[in-house]
Amino acid sequence: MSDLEPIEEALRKLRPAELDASLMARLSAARPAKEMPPEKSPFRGLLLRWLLPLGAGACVAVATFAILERNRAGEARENAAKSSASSETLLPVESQDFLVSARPVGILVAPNQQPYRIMDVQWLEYETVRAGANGPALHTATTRRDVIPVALEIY
Amino acid sequence: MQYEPSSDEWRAWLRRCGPRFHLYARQQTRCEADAEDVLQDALVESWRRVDGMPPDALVFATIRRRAIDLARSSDRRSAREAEAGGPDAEWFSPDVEERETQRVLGEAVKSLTPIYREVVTLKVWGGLTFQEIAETTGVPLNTAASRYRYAIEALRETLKGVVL
Repeated sequence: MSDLEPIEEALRKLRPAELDASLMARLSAARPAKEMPPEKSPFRGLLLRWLLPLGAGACVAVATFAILERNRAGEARENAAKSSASSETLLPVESQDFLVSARPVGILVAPNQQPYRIMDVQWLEYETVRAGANGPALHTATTRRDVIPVALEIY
Repeated sequence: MQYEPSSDEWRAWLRRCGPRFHLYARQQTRCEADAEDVLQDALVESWRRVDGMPPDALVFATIRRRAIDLARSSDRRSAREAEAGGPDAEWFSPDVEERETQRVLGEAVKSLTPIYREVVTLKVWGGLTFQEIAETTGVPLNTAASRYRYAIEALRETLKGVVL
């Protein structure tokens, strides 16, 4: 082993070439930096914390209001028909409903995790009434708007 | 990565260790551009891996792996081995007083077979132990040691009457 020492000594005197200026600049610029966690959009927090619950609440309120309003309108129509029938004996002889539009409003998830799509549905109602068996026919056309929940299938 | 070296710390480390890492990267790649790419990637990766200043053995191992990946990706392995150590590369900074002797010595190192040159580089300029060299190059400890002895012997024969 001792006869290897001179050549090893000579090798150790040999110094690897210094990094040239351009490589040193390049490597200096590549200094590892702390990895910052990806910045969350402030809108995302706002959306999850406030806008979605508020939107869901608003949908429920609209649906409830629409159902109550429809029931009230139905009762009023019934009362009117009763009073009308009693005075002029107008009898409904024909009724047709046409779907005009159906627009999705949003999605709600029930406490049992069943999702529902809330649909804003508009109908056109044609009704024909007649005063007595041989009386003239009267046609009425009214629009009706419903907000209805539609259960979504879960796979 | 939590630890971020200061600019001064990083530059001091580059000045102290960069030349020997660069020397090894040059030997492992086909051309200077590849060597610089591999060197940069390996330095940054090594710091990130240990979240601080990496041991030299890890940097050498990373350089080696990166160089192999690069050669594989571009299907240039044979070119890498054939061209590494080309005459254009100035691997060493010879002292003024011993310029000629060191030039001859440097050329002799370049002319070594890559597997022997690699062990000499890691041992002499990398400062690694044979155990670390074995781990870095993926060979048994005895193989690393015998390659080194063979390389030194070959250099001694080549340089008989010049250096000794």
